Amino acid sequence: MSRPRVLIVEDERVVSFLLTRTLEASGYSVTACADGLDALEIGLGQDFDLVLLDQRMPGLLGLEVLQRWKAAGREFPVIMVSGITGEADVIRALEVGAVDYIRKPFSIQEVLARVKVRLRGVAP
Amino acid sequence: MSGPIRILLISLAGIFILAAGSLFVLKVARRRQRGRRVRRKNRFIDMVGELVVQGEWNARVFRRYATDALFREVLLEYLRMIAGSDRDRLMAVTREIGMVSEYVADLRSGDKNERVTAAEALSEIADPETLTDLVFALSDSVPEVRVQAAAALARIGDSRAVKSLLAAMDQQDDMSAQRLADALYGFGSVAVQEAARYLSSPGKYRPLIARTLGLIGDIKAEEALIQALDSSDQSLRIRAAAALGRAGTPRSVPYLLEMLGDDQWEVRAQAATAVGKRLDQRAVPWLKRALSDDSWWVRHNAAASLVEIPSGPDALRLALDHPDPYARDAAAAVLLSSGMAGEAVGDLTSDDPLVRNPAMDLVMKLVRAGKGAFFINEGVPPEMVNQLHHAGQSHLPANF
Repeated sequence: MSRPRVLIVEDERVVSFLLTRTLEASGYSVTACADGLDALEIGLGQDFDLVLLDQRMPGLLGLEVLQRWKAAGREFPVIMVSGITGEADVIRALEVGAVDYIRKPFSIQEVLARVKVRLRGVAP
Repeated sequence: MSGPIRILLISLAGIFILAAGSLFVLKVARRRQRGRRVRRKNRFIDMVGELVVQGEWNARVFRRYATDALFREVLLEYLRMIAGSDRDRLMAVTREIGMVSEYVADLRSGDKNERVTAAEALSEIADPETLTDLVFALSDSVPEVRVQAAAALARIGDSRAVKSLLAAMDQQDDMSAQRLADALYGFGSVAVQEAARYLSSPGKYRPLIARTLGLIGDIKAEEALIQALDSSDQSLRIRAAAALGRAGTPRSVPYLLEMLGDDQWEVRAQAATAVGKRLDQRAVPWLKRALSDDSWWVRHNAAASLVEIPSGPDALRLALDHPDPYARDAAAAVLLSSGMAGEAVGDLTSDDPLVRNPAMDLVMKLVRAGKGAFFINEGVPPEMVNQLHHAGQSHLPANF
């Protein structure tokens, strides 16, 4: 069985590095990008088992990327990872189609646990 | 062209080329410097990130770069982004390599820039062991140091610091006081007891603290806010009435209803909104009376609250027959903006007279209150709106 593929869309290098290395160390195959437009293109062209998506990014906002993926029929589960923590923002993200919302600052172990829950049934 | 002019022009061109060349070289040098900085910072990000992911908390590795400003910047970024046990460990490392103690020492520096940098860094680190030093910084002469110290204390969240923060409030200018109040909000419920006590002090920022208590929304503040409604300070009464909308219980309702008779319209307006949030039936007759208030805001807020309270919408419908045209207008405006009038348009075509007739009655009254344009925009034919405007209830059209 191939390793689960995770796309990380995050423009802050600190966060991107942490998420990438944590997931790689746990056996996931990670693709990372730092721009909303790049993310849109990658998501339209490739399949992923899970996406971790930042909200505020250059190019396109995370929610816009998610909306466009949905409109194009891309149905991979998306977890929003954002420093925007208002109740209304979380609800909006879930309404648009995110399966979960992780607030920054986050616990690395908690992110990993949530990813594992979403990828239950998919190796590793 | 004569010789001297020629020499002058050549000299000028030479100077221009030299200046442009120097600028170009300077720009390239700066770009390279920026590039080097970015590359170095990225190396630090990768290095620290790797140590965090691997759980490698050996301070010796960190100590090697402990005096490097860029390395410190990276550590602070990680502290800003992560939470939980990894953050605790990283914070312990910053303490172990002497970073925290250096910043603490800098808080007492004679150089104000050093103090600001130290306060900003300590605000990111939010080490509980720096509590006393941060409390000390609340009385710094530089506002930014005080504000950063307050933010750090809020991040630490130790209730013992709340009293000091409140004591520092009165030494602030208005802008810093606002930022200290933001920090107080960051404490959440642990700040409520002391903040509520501040309301009965002579403190000059009592209205700001009342507002903050409302934002925190903890009912432990209710009693102090009710007492603040009796204050001779109009701003405090306004903020306390508004705060009770979030931090009140049914107990505060009679006090808020009394405030509907306050001399100041801002107090009455806030009280009208706050009682609406309590969804308390007792408020309905008071709010109906408030529909005839002198102030537009009070009338509007009273009508908006009536929409929220059970049986309030019936009172609003009845208010469309109110002898006071201002009361009718307030009721009509809120019936439109709340979506009730739109729902009535849908009910106009119902086969059930028990649904259709009340809808027609409502639409007719709203048309007569001058809201005909709304219904035309909603798709009701203009001639029908005109007919409703002139019709008595017994002559309502049977169906649209």
